[in-house]
Amino acid sequence: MEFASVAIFGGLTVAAVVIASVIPLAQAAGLLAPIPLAVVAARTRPRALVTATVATTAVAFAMAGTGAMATVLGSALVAGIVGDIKRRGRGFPTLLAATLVAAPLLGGVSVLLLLILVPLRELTIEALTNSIHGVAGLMHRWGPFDRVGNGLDAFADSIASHWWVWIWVSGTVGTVISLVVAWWILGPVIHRLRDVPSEDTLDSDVQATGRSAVEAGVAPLPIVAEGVGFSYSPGAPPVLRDIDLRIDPGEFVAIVGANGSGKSTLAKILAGRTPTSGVVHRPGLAGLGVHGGTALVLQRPEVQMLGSRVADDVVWGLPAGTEVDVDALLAEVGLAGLGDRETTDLSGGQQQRLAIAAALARRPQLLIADEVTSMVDPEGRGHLLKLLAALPRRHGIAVVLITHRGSEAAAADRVIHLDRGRIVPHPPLWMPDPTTDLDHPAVVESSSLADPGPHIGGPLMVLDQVSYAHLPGSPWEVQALTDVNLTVYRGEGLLIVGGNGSGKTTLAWIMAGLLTPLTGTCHLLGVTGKVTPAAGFDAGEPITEHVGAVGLGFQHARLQLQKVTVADEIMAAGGEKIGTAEVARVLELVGLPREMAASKVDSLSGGQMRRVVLAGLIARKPDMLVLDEPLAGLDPVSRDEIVALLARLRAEGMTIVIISHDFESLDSVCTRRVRLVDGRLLPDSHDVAPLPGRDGGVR
Amino acid sequence: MTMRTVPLRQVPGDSFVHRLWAGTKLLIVLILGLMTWALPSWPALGMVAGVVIVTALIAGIPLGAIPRPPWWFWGLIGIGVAVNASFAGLAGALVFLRATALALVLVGSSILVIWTTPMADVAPAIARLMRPLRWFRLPVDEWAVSIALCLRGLPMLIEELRMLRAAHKLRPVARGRTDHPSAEMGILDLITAAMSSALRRSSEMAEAITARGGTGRLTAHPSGPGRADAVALLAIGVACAIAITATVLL
Repeated sequence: MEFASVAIFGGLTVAAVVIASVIPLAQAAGLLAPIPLAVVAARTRPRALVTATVATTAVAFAMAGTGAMATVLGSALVAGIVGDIKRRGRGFPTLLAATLVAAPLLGGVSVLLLLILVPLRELTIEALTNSIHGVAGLMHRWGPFDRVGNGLDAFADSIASHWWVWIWVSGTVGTVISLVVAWWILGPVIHRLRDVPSEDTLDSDVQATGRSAVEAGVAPLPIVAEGVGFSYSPGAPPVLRDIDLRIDPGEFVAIVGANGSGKSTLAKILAGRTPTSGVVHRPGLAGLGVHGGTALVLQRPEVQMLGSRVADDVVWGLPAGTEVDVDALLAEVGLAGLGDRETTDLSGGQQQRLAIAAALARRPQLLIADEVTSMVDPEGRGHLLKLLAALPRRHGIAVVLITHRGSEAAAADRVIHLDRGRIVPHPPLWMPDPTTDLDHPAVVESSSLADPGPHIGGPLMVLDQVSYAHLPGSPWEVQALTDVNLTVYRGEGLLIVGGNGSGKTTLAWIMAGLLTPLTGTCHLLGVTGKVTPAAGFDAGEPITEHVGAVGLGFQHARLQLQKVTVADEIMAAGGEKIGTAEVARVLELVGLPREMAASKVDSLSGGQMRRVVLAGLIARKPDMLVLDEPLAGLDPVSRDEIVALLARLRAEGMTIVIISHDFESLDSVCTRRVRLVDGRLLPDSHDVAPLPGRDGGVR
Repeated sequence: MTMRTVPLRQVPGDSFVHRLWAGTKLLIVLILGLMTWALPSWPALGMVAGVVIVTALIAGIPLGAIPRPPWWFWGLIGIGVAVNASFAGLAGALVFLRATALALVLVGSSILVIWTTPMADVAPAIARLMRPLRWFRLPVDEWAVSIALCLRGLPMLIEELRMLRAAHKLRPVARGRTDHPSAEMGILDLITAAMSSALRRSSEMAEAITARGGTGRLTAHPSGPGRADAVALLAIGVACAIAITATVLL
C-alpha cells in the first residue's frame, strides 16, 4: 500500500513541478506541489515520506533536470512538515512554531549555496539589480514616478551590497507562504478524503510471513468454504452469508452476481483473505502471487500494469533469479512479439491478457479472474474468455471467473450464483442461452433500433470534414480523426460505436467544444434562438464558443464530481439557477432518492456516481448530451436502469449521443447507429433506412 | 489544451544517443547541470548548448519536436533585454541573456534525455546508479520500486489532470450570488477530486502489487553501461575541461 501511495502521490507532485517548470506562466502549480506529498505524510509513517522524497526527487531530475529536482526537494520538505503535524493531530500553533524554525533554515540553504557558487551569485545579482535599475530609469522619465524610481535604485543598491539578507529574507518568506498555503489547503482536503475507501483489501501471506516461508507451504487447492460470512467492519451488515462451496484442481467455475452481491469479496476470500465467520479449508497456504499458489486478475486493466514494458510486466515482482520464458508466455496469451512495447500502448483487452501472462509466470494452481472483461470491448472479451477457458485443460489450473455477464458464465463447467451475499440455486434472470458461442462474441443480434418517434427535428450539430491529430507536426503526431462528417438531429439518439483507440474520446471532446478540430468545423445550430427556415440553412456557431451547451459525461465519473455533497455537486454543475427543489427533481429523474442530496460524493457506488453526473448534466439543461461509455463497469441491473433512464430522457426530447464499444443494450435509446473505425466514420450495417425527407445516416 | 505541451516521451528513432545507457545520459545531465551552476560563463553555457545541439543532431530529433513557445515568451525576454540595456548598455543585456540562457540550456538537456530514452529504461538506470548507496544501509531497493512505479503512473496521472481540467471547464461560471455552490472557488474542489481519484488509484495499484505477491524484479532484460557510454562520458569530460580552461583564460 505504501509503495502505491508513494508512487501515485509522488507522481502528482512531480507532475505539478514539471508542469510548472516546462510551461511558462504555470508557476502557480508549483505552490500546489507539496499537497500530494503532504497527504502521504499525513496518512503514513515517516519512512514512506523519505521514500517518497527520494523517489520524487529522482523522477523530477530524470524528467526536467536539476532545477525541478531542487523544487521537488523543497516541496517534499514543506510537505513533510505540514503532513507530519497533521498526522500527529496538532493544530496551527504547532505549525507556526515549526515555521519559525524551518523557514529561516530553508531560506538559509539558498544563501549557503550562493555563498559557494560565486559566479552564479554574481550573475543572478547583477541581472536582478540591472533589471531593477532599468525599471527605475523608466520611472525617472515620468515626472510623478520619480520618487518610486529613487526607491527602486536604493533597493537595487541594497541588494548588491547586502545580497545575503535579501536572499535569506525572500527565501524565508517564500517558505512561510508555501507552508501556510499547504496547511490551509491540506486541512479541508484531508477532511474531505476521510470518506474515500482506501485500503488494500487483499490479504497476503507474503507480507505476514515472508516469501520463502510461504513458498514452502503453498497448497491452495482443493479449497472448501464452510459457512463463510464477511463484513468489512464489526457491526456493519455482512456482505457474504453462509457460503458453502468447493473448488477442485483443474475446474472452470463461474461466479455470477450483480454489483453488490458480494462476488468480489468472495474472490478475495478465495485468494486468501480471512473471513469474519465460518472457515476456509486449504491443504496449505493460499500463496497469493507466489509460485504455485493463487493468482488474481483484477477488473481495471490499466492499473494492473506495473512494468513499463510488456516483458517487464510479466516478470514484475518475481523473486530475483526466477527463470521465466517470457516469450513463450506472451505467445500463449496472444501477445507474441510485443515484448518491447510499452504497456500503456496496449488496448484494454491486451492489457488483461498481459495480466494473465504475469499470473501464469507464477505457475499458479488457482487463477481468479475478477470482472476482467468489464472494461474491454466485445472482441477483446471473446479473446480473454477463450484464453481463460483453455487454462484448465492446458495447465491443469483451476479457473474461477467472476462476472456479472451470464453469457460469460456459459462456458464454465459449473456456475455459482450469488445474490445479496448468498448462494442461490436459480440462475438470475439475465442468464442467457448457455449455447452462446464464445468464438464469435462480436456478432450482434439483429435487433431493431428504437422507434425514432415524433420528436426528431432539424439538425442540431453539424460536423463537417472534421480531422484531429494529437501534437500535429511533431514526431509524436497521432491522427485521431479523419474527415468525420456527421449531423446530429434534434431529439435523436445517436450511437457511435468504436473500439479502444478508435478516436471516440477525441470525437466526444470535439463535440463538447473542448478541442478545436484541426481541419473542418463542428457547429452547433440554433444557438442564437432564431431558427429561420426561410433562410434555408443556419450555419450555426462553432461549439468551442459554447462550451457547456453540450453536456459531456466522462467514462471516469469520479473526476467529474468535484463537490463534497451530491446537492452541492448538482447545483455547481447546473449553474446558479438551480435550487434544492430542482436538485430533488433531477435526482428523481435519474432514479435516485431525493434524500441522497445530502450524501457525500465519495460514499457513492460507481453506478450512483454515474447517475449523479447525469443529474448534474441534466440540471444544466444542455442542448445535447454526449456520453462516453456510460455503461462501462456496471452490472446488468444498473445497466438496465441507466438505459431506461436514457430512453426516457430521449423520449422527453433530449438529444443524446452515446459513444461506446458496447452496443448490446443501447438499442432502446438510440435511433441511429454509426461506426467509428480508426478515426473514420463508417455507416453501420443496421442504418439502412434514412430518416424520411432528410439525408439521414452519415452525410 | 490550448497550449502545446512538451510531450515527455521518446522520439522514435535509433541512433548512438538512443543506444546509450539511460544512466549515462542522466549522469551527463547531472554533470552539465552542476557545471553550469558552478560556472555560468559564456564558454560553459556555450559548451552545454553545443552538447545539446550536437546530441539532438546525432539523435535525429526533427525540428517539429521542438516546442514553440508563445509569442509573449519571446516578448518578455525582449523586454528584459531592453530594460537591462537601458541601464547597463550592452554588458547589461549580455548578463541578462546569460541568465536566461542558463535556464534554457538546462531544461533543454534534460528534455533531450527523455526524448532519446524509453521511459522503461529510466527507473532501472536510476536504481543502478543508486546502488553504491547500499553501503550506507539505505533502502535502495525500496526506492527503486517507488521510482519505477512513479514513472509508470505519471502518464496516467497527467491524463487524469487533463480530464479534471476539462470537467472543470465544462461547468457554468456563476456571477452574482456568492452562496451558491457554483460560485465557490474551484481550486479546493479540483485538488480534492484529484486526491480522491489518486487515493483510489493507489489502492488499486496496491492490490495489483499484492496480487503479484509483493515487489521483486523490475525488468526482464537488465541493461548496463558499455564501451559507447565510456566514450560519451569521456567526451563530456573533455568538453567540460575545455570550457573551464576557456573561462579561466578569457
